[in-house]
Amino acid sequence: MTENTVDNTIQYSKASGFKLLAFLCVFLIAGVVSIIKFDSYFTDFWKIRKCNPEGYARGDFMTACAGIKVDRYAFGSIYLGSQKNAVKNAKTADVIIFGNSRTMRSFSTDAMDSYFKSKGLTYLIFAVEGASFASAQHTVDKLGLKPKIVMTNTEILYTDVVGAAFSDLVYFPDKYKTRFDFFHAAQSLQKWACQSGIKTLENYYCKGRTNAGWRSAVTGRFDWELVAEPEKNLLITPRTEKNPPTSRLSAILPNAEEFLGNSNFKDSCHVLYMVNSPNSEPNLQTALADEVGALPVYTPFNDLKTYDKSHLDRPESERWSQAFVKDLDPALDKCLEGGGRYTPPVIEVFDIATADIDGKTDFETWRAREGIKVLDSFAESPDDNKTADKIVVEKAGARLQKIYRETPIKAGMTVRFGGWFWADEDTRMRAQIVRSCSAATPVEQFNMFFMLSSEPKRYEISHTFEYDHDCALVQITASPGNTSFYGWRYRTEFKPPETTPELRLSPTSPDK
Amino acid sequence: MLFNSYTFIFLFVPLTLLLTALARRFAGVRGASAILVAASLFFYAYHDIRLLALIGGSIVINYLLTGLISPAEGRKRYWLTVLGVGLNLALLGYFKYTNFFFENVSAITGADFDFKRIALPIGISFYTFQQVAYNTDTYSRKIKERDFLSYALFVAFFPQLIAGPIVHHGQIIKQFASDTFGRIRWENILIGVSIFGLGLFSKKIFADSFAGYATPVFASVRDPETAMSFVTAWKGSLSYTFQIYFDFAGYSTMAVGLGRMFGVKLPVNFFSPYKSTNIIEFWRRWHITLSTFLRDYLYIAMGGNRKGKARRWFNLMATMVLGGLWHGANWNFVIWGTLHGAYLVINHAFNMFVKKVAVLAALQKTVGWKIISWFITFIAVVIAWVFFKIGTDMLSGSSGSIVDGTGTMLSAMFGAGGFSTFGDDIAALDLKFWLFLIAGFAIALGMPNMAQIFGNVRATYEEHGPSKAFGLITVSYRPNIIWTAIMAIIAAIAVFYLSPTTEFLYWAF
Repeated sequence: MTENTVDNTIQYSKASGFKLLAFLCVFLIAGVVSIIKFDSYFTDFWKIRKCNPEGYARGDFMTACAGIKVDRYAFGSIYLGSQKNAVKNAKTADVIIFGNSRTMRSFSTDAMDSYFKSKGLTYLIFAVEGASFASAQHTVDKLGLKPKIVMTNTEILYTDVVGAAFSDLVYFPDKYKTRFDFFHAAQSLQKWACQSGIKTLENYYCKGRTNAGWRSAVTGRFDWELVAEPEKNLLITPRTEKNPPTSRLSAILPNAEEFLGNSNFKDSCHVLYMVNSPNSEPNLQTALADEVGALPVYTPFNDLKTYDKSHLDRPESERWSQAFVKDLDPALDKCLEGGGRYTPPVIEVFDIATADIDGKTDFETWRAREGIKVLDSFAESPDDNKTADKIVVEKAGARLQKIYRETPIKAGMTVRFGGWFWADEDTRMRAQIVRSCSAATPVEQFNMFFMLSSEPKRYEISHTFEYDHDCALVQITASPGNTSFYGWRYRTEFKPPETTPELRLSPTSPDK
Repeated sequence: MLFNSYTFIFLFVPLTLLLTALARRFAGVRGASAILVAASLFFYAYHDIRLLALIGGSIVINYLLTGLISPAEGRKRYWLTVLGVGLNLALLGYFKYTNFFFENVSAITGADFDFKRIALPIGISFYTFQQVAYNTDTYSRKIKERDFLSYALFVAFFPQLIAGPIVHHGQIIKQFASDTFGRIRWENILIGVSIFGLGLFSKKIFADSFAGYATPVFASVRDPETAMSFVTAWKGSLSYTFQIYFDFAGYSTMAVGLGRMFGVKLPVNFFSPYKSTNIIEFWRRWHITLSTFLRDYLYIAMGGNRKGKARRWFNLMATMVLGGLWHGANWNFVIWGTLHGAYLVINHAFNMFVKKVAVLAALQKTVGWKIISWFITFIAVVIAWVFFKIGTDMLSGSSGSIVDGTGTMLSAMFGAGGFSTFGDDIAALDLKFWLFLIAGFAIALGMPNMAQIFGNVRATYEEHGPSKAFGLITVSYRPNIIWTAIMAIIAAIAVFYLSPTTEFLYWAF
């Protein structure tokens, strides 16, 4: 035995067992006093008597009540499993609606409730203030949610930061779990007392008139008393969205792939939606849905009113949801028919043996407009032949053009232009197919933006013409100015219509 | 599992005590060790089962490697040790510094790395250091006996697993073979729960209350538009100064109490650091087990003070910078460590200068000198905590800018915002804040620390004698009925008081 261990031979006290018992007795008495004197986990058991218990009858659970402050309970009690009913319903719901503060408000409506009932689908709203998809992802993983239909507010895919409100729950669950469990137990006690038929208990627990916040344990629907602000009738100022939203898409697509590609969702149908707000980007949503195989739903409005220029007020939420469910309906029907499944990205790995390289590298023969030039055989190509062209863009948007005069365009004909492109630094390339050589015919053009990286990839653009034209023009450019990119083995294909197109005459001038 | 959760206090600890005692009775020391290892791993992986693989793998690989180092000779012995230390540091580096590395490379080169943010497993900084020490000491032939169960328990023993103290194998493994280990001795449990209750009281009543004053100030400070007043800035920084002290000292005290319940004495981690009258002394009193580790395994390994003054100061600086970085992967922790390194270098240089000037050497013994020294030391520590706190907030995902936040706070503390609202700001401070501030200073400066209060019953690994409060009354715990009642009341208030903040700061490191 050394002096630095607990020495068994030294006795500091006699009758230690008795003293430990005394410790426990004083601990309990002092505990009771401190519970009464200070706020404690147990205080909920009598503070709750002041809260109006009317929500229990609707199958709701209390999210907050004056005098009882339980941060993050509204969503944390589901995430950490304290609200067992809500968790059970989340696990069995046909549809789970993930979203943010706008979802909380605009989906908590009678129209939404009636709609899902009419479809025979159970649903649960899982929305968190300021949410990103990361909070939804954590919830799906922790609770093992496997809904038939996943409805995701596209806005939550904009960022992958968990957010201050949710991150604490994820990283410090102990900080909340006990607190939530006690509040849940207090609610269970009040609910039981109010249904017990015991007068004394009813008088004590069920006469409270303090308004509480409520949330449905069945649908996750929020009571508007909790979330609503006074109506101010402020119109939404819509965001000006770029079309096509290529750069936004490339930033957000990885988030969508991560969330929608969750293994729990392998049999789920995905719907992407937006609640109209200044953050709405419907074109982005459509492009995103195309990429991942989801079904986009957006209901355009131009007169929706909010209380803060962002969140719809209660009557407007009802109006919005009445219109929204009409647009949602065909999407859900498609879901029920097996559509809307997540399409994983095709990972392009360059393999010279199998790559589509049946093309030419002669950009120097293209027509260079002012501010763009081609340096031949400058860069290494992916197959190690020094045949790639370096295209130098001195002036943003300056075009490099190729006119295909030898192939007249017929209505229904598809022109497809594809090639391998890359750049030393991330560069935005625009490719365009335009009708040409026939000024009298209607202008038809199709643009696409590609974010080029240092990795050579094949990019493709195609357009099916509606009218006959004398020829087609393909042009490429990049931005910003003073940038450059590499081009290799492009190919332009002209694919005639598969079936005889409906005869459409090109408009002619009146004197012909 | 948190030390202040009811699951831990009312379920985990009593059940583990009972099972360990039963195992000790029927299966001896090894049975008790096995139960405690299992319980500790359960404690560690309670919220994330994946952590089990991490700590389990770390323990097994380290034990196997040290098994290879032990009989090896010459270069093989050296390179196996390098491998062992390297693996530990690589694991810590991966989890703790990958994000930081890529963020900085991105910031410098503009390259956009597609990497997933890596979450830091709790406690890894602590048990990695313990195992690095074990590897190094195996190399130095300081390890005489090897036993897997004892080793696993030394690493995973739950009272010290998550946030220290960083125990040395030499201090603890021998205790797992002692007579009292794992046995239920009412006296140890009485002393243990008393210490635990005091630690919890420190955490919940003081640290969490100070957090209530510090957090809003530091939350607002990262907004570059914030106009911070002199009084608010000092309210925030002093509150945090006491929050971190009562938080970390509280946790370490609880760890000591828990260890005692199982018949194990853990080393003291805090010894009234704010009583220090210079920075050298501060680091002998603050997070003592970390300072000791850094001294023994980094500073001395780099040459310590054996290679001349310049090299000594460089070693000191490097040790503190790395010590800062150990706390978290962001530049504010580096600045915090650098600042303390600079403080230490200045302190050593000043001491050398004072020794050469007879008048100063005489003055050094006066009360006035000591008061001024204490004041300078305390202010230097408070300033450094501003960097530390903002660094901690950024680790936990708070938004805002480190540079803006630190700049705003420090400039306000030095009066850059003017004093026009001084009177109004002072008047706006609530009475509760003043009471807590006075209590904070009184306890930190006037009261004995836990090791001294419980010195009579030899609470910590290093034995400390009793001390007087404010130089007047000896405050020394005795397991008599009065002290029992006092400690039970303190424990009851601590357990049942509902504080708004409950996580421990050092869990994030």
